[in-house]
Formats: sequence, structure tokens, C-alpha cells
Amino acid sequence: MSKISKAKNIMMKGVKFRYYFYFFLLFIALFFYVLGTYTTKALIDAINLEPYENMDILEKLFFDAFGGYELLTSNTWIFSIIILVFAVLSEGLNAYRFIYRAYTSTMMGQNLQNALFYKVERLSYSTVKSMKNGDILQTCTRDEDVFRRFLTDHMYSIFYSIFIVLLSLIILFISSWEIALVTMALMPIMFVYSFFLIKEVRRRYRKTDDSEGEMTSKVEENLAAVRIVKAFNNETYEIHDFDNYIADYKKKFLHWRKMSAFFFASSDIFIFGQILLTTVVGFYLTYQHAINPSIGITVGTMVIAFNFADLIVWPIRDLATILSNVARAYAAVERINLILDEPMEDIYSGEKPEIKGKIEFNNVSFSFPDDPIKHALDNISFKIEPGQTVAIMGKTGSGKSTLAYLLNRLYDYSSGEIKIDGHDIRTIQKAWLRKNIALILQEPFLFSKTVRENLIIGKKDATEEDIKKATKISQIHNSIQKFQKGYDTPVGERGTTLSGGQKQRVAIARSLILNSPILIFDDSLSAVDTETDYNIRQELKNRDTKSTTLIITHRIATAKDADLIVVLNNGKIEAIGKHEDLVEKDGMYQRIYKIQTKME
Amino acid sequence: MASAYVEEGNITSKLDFSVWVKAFKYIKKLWPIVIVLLICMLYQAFYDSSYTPSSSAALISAFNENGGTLVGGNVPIWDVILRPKILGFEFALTFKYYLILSFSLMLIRSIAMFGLFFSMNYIEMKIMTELRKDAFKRIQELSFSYFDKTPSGWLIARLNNDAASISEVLSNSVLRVFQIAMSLIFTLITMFTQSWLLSLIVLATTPLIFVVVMIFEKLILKYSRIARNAYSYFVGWLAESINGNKTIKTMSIEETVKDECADITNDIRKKRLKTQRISGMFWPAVDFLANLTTALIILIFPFLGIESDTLTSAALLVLFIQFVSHIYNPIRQFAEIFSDLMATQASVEKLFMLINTVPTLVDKPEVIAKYGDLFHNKTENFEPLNGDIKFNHVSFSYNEGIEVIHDLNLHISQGTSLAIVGETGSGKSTTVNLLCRFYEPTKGEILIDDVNYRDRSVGWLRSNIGYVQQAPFIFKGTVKDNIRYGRLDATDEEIVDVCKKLDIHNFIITLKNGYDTYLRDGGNELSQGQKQLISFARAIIRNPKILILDEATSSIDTETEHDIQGAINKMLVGRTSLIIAHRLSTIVGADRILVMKDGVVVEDGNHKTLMEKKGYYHKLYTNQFKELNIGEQLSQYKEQIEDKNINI
Repeated sequence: MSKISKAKNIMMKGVKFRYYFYFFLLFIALFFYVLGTYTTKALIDAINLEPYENMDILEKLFFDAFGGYELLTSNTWIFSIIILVFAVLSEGLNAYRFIYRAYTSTMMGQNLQNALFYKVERLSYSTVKSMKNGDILQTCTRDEDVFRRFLTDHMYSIFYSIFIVLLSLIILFISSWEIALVTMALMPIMFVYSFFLIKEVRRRYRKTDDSEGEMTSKVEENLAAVRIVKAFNNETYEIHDFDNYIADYKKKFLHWRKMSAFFFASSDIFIFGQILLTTVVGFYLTYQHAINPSIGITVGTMVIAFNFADLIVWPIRDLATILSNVARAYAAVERINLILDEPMEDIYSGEKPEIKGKIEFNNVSFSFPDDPIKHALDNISFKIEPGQTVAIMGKTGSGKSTLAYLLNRLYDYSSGEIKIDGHDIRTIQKAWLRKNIALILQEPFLFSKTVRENLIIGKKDATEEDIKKATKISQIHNSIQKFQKGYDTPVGERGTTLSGGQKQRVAIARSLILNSPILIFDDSLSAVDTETDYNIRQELKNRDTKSTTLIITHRIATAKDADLIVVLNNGKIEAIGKHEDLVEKDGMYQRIYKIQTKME
Repeated sequence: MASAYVEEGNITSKLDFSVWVKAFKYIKKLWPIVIVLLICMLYQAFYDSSYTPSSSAALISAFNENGGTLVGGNVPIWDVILRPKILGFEFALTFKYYLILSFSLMLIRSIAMFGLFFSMNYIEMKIMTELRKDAFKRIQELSFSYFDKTPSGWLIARLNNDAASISEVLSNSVLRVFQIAMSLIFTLITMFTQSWLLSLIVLATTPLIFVVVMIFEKLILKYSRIARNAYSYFVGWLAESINGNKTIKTMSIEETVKDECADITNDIRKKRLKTQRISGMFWPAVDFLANLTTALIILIFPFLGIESDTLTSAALLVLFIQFVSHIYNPIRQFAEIFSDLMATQASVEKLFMLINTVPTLVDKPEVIAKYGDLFHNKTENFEPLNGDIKFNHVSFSYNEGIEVIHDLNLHISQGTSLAIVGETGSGKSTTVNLLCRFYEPTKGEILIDDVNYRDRSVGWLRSNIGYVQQAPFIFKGTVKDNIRYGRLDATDEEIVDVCKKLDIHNFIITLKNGYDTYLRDGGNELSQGQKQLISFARAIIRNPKILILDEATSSIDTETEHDIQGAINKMLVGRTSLIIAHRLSTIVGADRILVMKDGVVVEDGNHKTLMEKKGYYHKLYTNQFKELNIGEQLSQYKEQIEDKNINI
């Protein structure tokens, strides 16, 4: 149960009392409902003029409560009032409890949805990278749904079944213990029978489901390979292949449904057998009563024994069905816990010093957690003064991006020290650090919002002027204005109105709006053409705020103007210095310079 | 994953039977099993709505009938006579025989239930698989222009979700109409034969319940759709926010996104709450009306003058209280079926729209007569293909009015390689589409061995083409299966031979199980370059006369580029080849290079001549060169410029 309690407590925040109080409401509603059914017994006995002294204690109480034996037997219309009163009470309560429950369960859903997302959002970067995005999504949606249904719908069904069985049996017991026992006789067998049979039904269902999944992936494959299929004229083969999947699915589907049909049909034997048994024994007891009024049961009891038998058999079968499926809820909550138990990245503790933009790398080394032996960065040292521009060059995999990630603490370095304005960055609050370092990623990611909403996502109070300034620097203002809806054009995954280069320039503008003292282009200027690259860098120079700028690039033209150029090779600094120095030195920079100037 | 959340689309509020007629045809084919189903339903309706209520009424009134004798104790219980009135006929039988009869009828009911469930499921399965097969077959026949306009997600949704929900509705809802109708009929007969007056009272309240039920069903349908849409939006938002995790962190916008999450989940909660509030009142309202009817019966009962025989009247009363639910349940079920039909109508429309789509690119009837259709090639009539390709004044437009190829004249002599380069939209991919006959020229003609390819079948042309596309495609299956896809009757030896010729045999045998290595998830365990090598072998196993490399190297990592280049050079030997490349390094070795711009050829030559011409090709080349990362710049410069002695 401890497995469940964590997720459960999160869900019940603010609705704990409501959650448990619902069980009470359920009980009261069922109590009136059962009493309503019980009224039939009194009615029959009243019509039948069953002597008062033959009645059981509950029935006597009933007659006393509603005006006495004489009045009721001679005025059976009163029963219609009683039934109506109980109906109003129980149905009114039912409506109330359903609405009450709707509030609780929707609230519980929201609580868990939020809790899961807040956690996911705050997992450390390396944790997120180690998980599959699809799995996270499944847990936040399907597992949440399964577990919520278990705590609400299924729990309530379980208690509904228990209450209805309990209440019905108590009433029957008061009338006659024999009939009560008989009404229950087949139920334990049916419960066990259903419990295990349903498991088999589910097992077969899962196989069918898997088979359907295979079939779907066949279709997906066929559609993805449509050019190959057609070019190779393999349409007939594809249809035959699909037929095989269909045949397998058919087989498993029938295998499954045969079992479920058998389950329903065979457990119906218990259900109708139980009703028949109750009828027969009820008849026998009534027969005895007719012969000797001091034993057996009244006709009224016989009638409600039929009714109660009919009332309890179905919930018991449902109960077996639900209980046999508890494993699914457990599996769901385990996956939920997997996320909930992950530590959150601490982004709010630490100092918030004023950041001007002086950066120092002192003997910094770093290894990725999944490859601790290899140094992704090895003994890196350099210094940047506020407002300077540094270019970082190197082949793919030389550690350029990692260097940027260390600076804004997506990863923490293994040894050495990174200082910003004299503060070790590990003492600085992460949120503060990242607000002050605008890192523009290589792959631009825009949200499914309008261009404007994307632009101000980091700074909600940005003025129209701020936005225009940033989009002009990043050379995107004119393009945006040409869109039919201008700044209100929707972008992102679902609205693919922007080209890759345009997205990148929006992403650049989005970061420029922040006015951060440190700016990092992680190969993000390379995605735009050389001319735009140049224009953006020129505009940046003319900006009022001079940010310390790190540019990761493979263009000599971009690196040339930098105050410092760092050439990385396999995680180490191969060369460092100004353009004028590096072109003189034998090495990668010089060679690239020669090639690129020839190509100009 | 995304397919789990079905797009809702616009759903009409009116039931349109003309839409359903197409779907009903699928039931019609299954008439024998439908008859079995109907018999089972008939029996179940009889047992539940006629036999059970009548016999329990008989049990109650038995005490009255034999009242005098029972008290005297003269009649043993087994011989107590029961007089059930079933379907208007009164029977007389002893308790003993009643027991035997009831037990037997109950067992038969179980068998009937099995038959009912199973035949229903069988029908569901049949319809579902037939629909899927028909849709799949149609997808194979459709022309490319269709796929350009239709996202594959849409097609998958039709095949999966729509086929499933239609078959479920047809088997469970439409056929259940009979079941409900029968139980209603049996109930009505039983009621009226017992007491027509009480029956009329019960019936009097049904219009009210009918109205209530219909109003609720409509509201529930409407609001649950709203709530589902809100949830689908959340799922999409969630997926995006998980994918954009890095951006959220680097922008430090956790709080903003968190607030957004709270807003969205709150919206879901509100919409779900509204739906559940309405559906929460539904059952109590219906149950209350049922109770009201019961109360009405009890109220009126004493004034009906049946009091002379108290126990018979008590039995009658019990019987009619039961009838109330027997009448009410079918009405609810009818309403449910109605909303099922409403909810599925859009699915029927969409799925049949797919199934009834007519392919636009088909061979002429006389061509089909000689060479067979897409699914039945008459290979015995196929002329051998040599591989001489001519484009004569070819123009083409995907959409009317927007021409993308203008008056293209092209001759690729047998056995030579031709490369086409150009920017996106220059018309190079369209040229491939036309040569493969994925599309046909809007003007002009394409001649293969001096015959207009429209005078031969699609199968004839394609059986002679080896095609390699940009993103290497790996089918689920072994490496061997993937290569054999190029020629289904290729032997294992032939496959190994081809791989050896292409120098990829050594790479394949280093895989875990060599040629039998099973590849899943699009071959994720292989690098992009390795996947492309396998698709090369797939194209070459066909021993094609025409080889088409359609951007085949665009997505290759630099590590395998060298191996790829080697394999390509071997493939080209003895074949007429058309190479389309965005990455220029692929085409530097081609016999002839064409540069296309805006649908026309602007330059013609080979790498060396075009580079030295310093024209458009030169510009394309240097521009692209600058986009390469530093490692690539170094290696490509050496191979493509220094070693070829090109002066730039």
C-alpha cells in the first residue's frame, strides 16, 4: 500500500475529506434504495393480510412507523407515497453523490496531472535525457488515467458492491436466516470462478491488443515506405503481408472473444441459478409458512428475496472483474512513482549576484555520467571580460556545445572551476544564472503559439518596442510582417508556417528580448546564411547593452572578429588567441582559413 | 501514441441513414450468422421478458390458488400446481416439473447467450477486418497525388479507429436494436395478456421518459466531446512541453510553463465536471421516473376491482413493478444506440470516402489487357527494357496553373549516369517522380527505349527500376528480408552475391546474426549510412536497367560517406542512372551533371568543367561547402578540389 500512498496523497490534496465522505453518501443512498425495495415486501404482506404477529421485527417496525397495521392494510395507496418518498430520498442522494463524486475525481485528476508535469518539468537535464519522451507522456496521460479510475470509479464500485450485498443480506437475515444464506449460496463460487476466468480473458485480450499493434505498425510501415512499395511494384506482396497480420489478429480476436463470451454465458448460469435457487427455496419456505405460520417466510419475503437476489448477483460479478484487474493499477502507479521519486533539479536556491558578464574557466574538466572515463572536456582554461566576444570552433564532438551547457549548468563540471564575475557558478541560483545567460540552441524549438507569444515567453512584460528591437537585430522583423497574420501567426509543431531558418531567427530574437549580460549562440548562427549571420553580428555590436557573447561556429568569417578564438579538439584546447595570431600558426584554424577564403 | 486520441472533427447532430447504407452492406454479407444471432436474441428476450416474470407471478399466486389445501397440508410441495400465463396461454404444471423446466430453460439461455455474444463478436471481427482489408487494398492502389494531400496519420486513423468503431457499432448497436425490440415486444405481450389496464398506465409515462432520455443523451454526447477535445489538447501540449524541455530550462521559463499547465488542467477539470454533472443526474432522473410509475400503479391498483382474489392481485402488482424496468431499460438502450450512431457517423463518412476514392493514375484498358494490372502483372508479355530514356518537351504541374517543370528535353543514353542538382523547388525531384511514373507529364512525353511509357504498364516500367530514396527505409524483418524486398524470389545466394559485389557483405556479417539479424523500429540499431547500404542492395538485387538515387546521400553521416561512395560507384556500372542530390559530394563523379533552376536546365557539364566555369554550380557548391562542419570541410576540400586539380 505504501507504493500507492504517495501518488494517492498527491491526488487527494484538498479533497481528502470529500473522497472519504463519498463512501458515507453512497451508503446512505443505498440504504434508502434498499428500503424502497423492502417496501414491496410490506406491501405484499399488507395486501395478503399477513397477521401482524407473524411478521419479523423490521416489518413490524415498518408498519408501526407508517401509521400502524390497520391503517396500512386497509389503505394500500399509502405505500405508493412511501415508495415515492424513498425514491425521492435515494435518487436525490444519488444525484447528489454523483455530482459530489464528479468534483472529487476531476479534482484528483488535475492534482496528479499537475504534480506529474511539475516534476517532469523540473527533472535535471541528464535525467530527462536518460528517459524516453514517449514513456514520460504515457505516464502523464494513460497511467494517470488508469490510477485515477482505480481510486475513484473502481474503489467506489467495490464499495457499492460490498454495501449492497451487506444491506440486502442484513434485511434478509432479519426475515429469515435460511433465505439469507440461500440467496448467497452460489456467490462465493461465482466470485472465484469469475475472478480467474476474467484473468484468462484479459490475457487473451492483451495478446489481441499486441496483434492489433503489430497490424498498425504494418500499416504505418506501408505508408512510410509508400515510395519504395510503388517503385518496386510490390503492392500485391504488401496486401498478402497485410493479410497475414489480419489473419493473426482475427485468430487472436476470436480466441479472446470466445473466452469472454464463454465467461459471460457460463457465469450467467451462476447468476440465474442463484435467482432460481432463491426462488425455489423461497417458495418452499413460503409453503411451510402457509402450513404452519410460525415457521418459514411470508409471501412478501419471498418476493423481496427474488428482488435482492437479482440486486446482488450482478455487483458481485463486477467486483470479481474489478479485483482481477488490480494489477493494472499497480503497474500504473509504479510508473507514476518512477517519476515522482526522481529528485527535482534545485533551481531556486543559491545566491543572486549582479552579473556583468566576466567569465573564467579554470582547469575545467567534464565527463558524461554514462561515460565517466572519457573526458568530454579536458582541462579547459580561458578568461572573457564583460562585453567581449569569444568564438569557439572545432569538429563535431569536440565539446563545443558541452562547454556552453556547463556554463548555464545543464551539466555540472567534474573538476576545476567556472566563475562568473568572480562567483563560482555552483553557488549561483540556477534560475538566476540561466536568466542571465541566454543560450540559443542549435535546434530551434518554438511552442505552438503565435510568433508574438513565443517571442515574449521569457519576458512577459516585454513592450512592443522591445519585440521589434529584437526581431530587427535577428533579421526576422520583415519576414514576420510579410506573414498574413504578422506577429500573430501561429508557429510550432502543429503550425509549420515557418522555415527552419525563420524559426532559428525567431528563437534568437526570443533570447535577445531577455537583454541578458551573457549571450551564447550554440551553432545557432550557422543555421542562417552568411549574410544574415553577418548582419545579426553587426546589429549586436550596435546594441545599447553589450553582452558577453560566445559564438560556437564553423565559419572563419564569424570567428574572425571575435576578441578571442578558442579552437577545441577532442575536448582539449588546441589553440587559443586572436585571429591574427591563429592564422600564422600551423594547425586546423589556419587550414580552414585557407580553404574558406579560397571559397569566398 | 497520438492515434490513441482520435481527432473529433465536426460531428453532425442529425442521423443520416444514407451514410449508413454503405456500412450496412457489410452486415448483409454475413446473413447466416446474423440469423443465428437473431434466434439467440429471440430466445433470450423470451426467457427474460416473458418466462421469468410470468413464472414468478405464478409462484406467488400459487398460494392463493391452492390456499385451502396448502393450509391443510394435503398437497406435498412437489405436487403444488402452478399456473403461469406465458404469452397469453395459461399452462398448468406441478412444482416438480416447473423446477425441471426452469432449470433446462436456464441452461438453454446460457447456451443462447454464448451464441449471442459469440456471433455478435464474430460479426464485429468480420466487418472490422473486411473494412481494414478494403481500405488497405485501396491505399495500395492510390496514386501519389493522393498521398501528397493526405497525411499518413489520417489514413491510419481511418484504418484503425474508424474501422474498429464502425464494426463495433454495427455489431453491438445496430444489431442490438433487434434484441431490444424483441424484449420490448415480449414485455408488451406479457403485460397486456396479464392486465391491459395496468399496461396502459405503464405505457402512459413512457413518452415522458423518452423525452428525458433523449435530452440527456444529446447533452452528454455534446459535453463529453468538449471534454475530450480539451484533454486531447492537453496531450498535445504535454508532448510539446516534454520535447521542449531543454528550451524551457535554458530560457528558465519553468514558472510560466507551470502556470500554463495549471490553466490547461483546470480547463479539463471544469469541462469534465460539467459532463459528469449532467451524466450524474441522468440515472437518478430515469430511476425516479421509474419509481414514480411504480407509485402510480400502486395508487391506482386498489381501484381496479381486482381485490376479490388478494394473492393473484399481489402477484400482478409485483409483476407490473418489474415491467416498469422492462419497459424503461429498452428506451435507455435505444437512446444509447442513437448516440453511438451519431458519434460514429463521421467515421463512416471518412472511411468510405477513403474506400471509394478512385486512383487517378491508371493504365489504359488496352495496356492492362496486354500487361496486366497493378496486382497481376503478365510478365510473360513484358518486352525487355534497355534503358534509353528521353524526355520530350515535358512540362508538369502538381496543381493546376503552377508549372514546376517547363518544356524539359533530356536524353540519357543507355548505361550512362546523369546527376541533377539544384535548390529545393528547382524541379529535380519532380523529374524522378515523372521517370518512375509516380506522376505523368501534363505536357510532352517520356520515352523509354523510344516507346511512350504510357503504352506499357506501370508494372513493366517499375519492375526494371532500382530506386533508392533519401531516408533509407528498413522494413521490420531480417537484413535478408529487407534486401529480398527488391526481388521477392531472390535466393539467399543471390543476396550474398549482390552484397559482395557492393562490398557490403563484410559489414553485414559483423552484425549480431549476420544476414539473419532482425531489424526493428526502422533499424535503429544501424547507422543511417548502414541502412542506406542495405537499401542499395535492395535496389541492386532487382538487377534493374534503370537506377534512381533520389537524394540517397542527403541524410548520411560523414563516417559512412566513404563506404557509401564506394558502393554507389559499383552500382552505376552498366546501368542508366539518374542521381538526384542535394549534397553535391555525391554527384562529383557522375558522367554528366545538369543544374536545374525553377524547372529549367541552366548548366550542363561535369564537376570539373562546371567548377571552373564559376557559374551557378560553383556558387551552389561553395555555399554548401560553407555550411559543412569543420571536419567535413577539411576532408571534402581534399577529395573534391585538391585531388581533382580544380582551380577555384
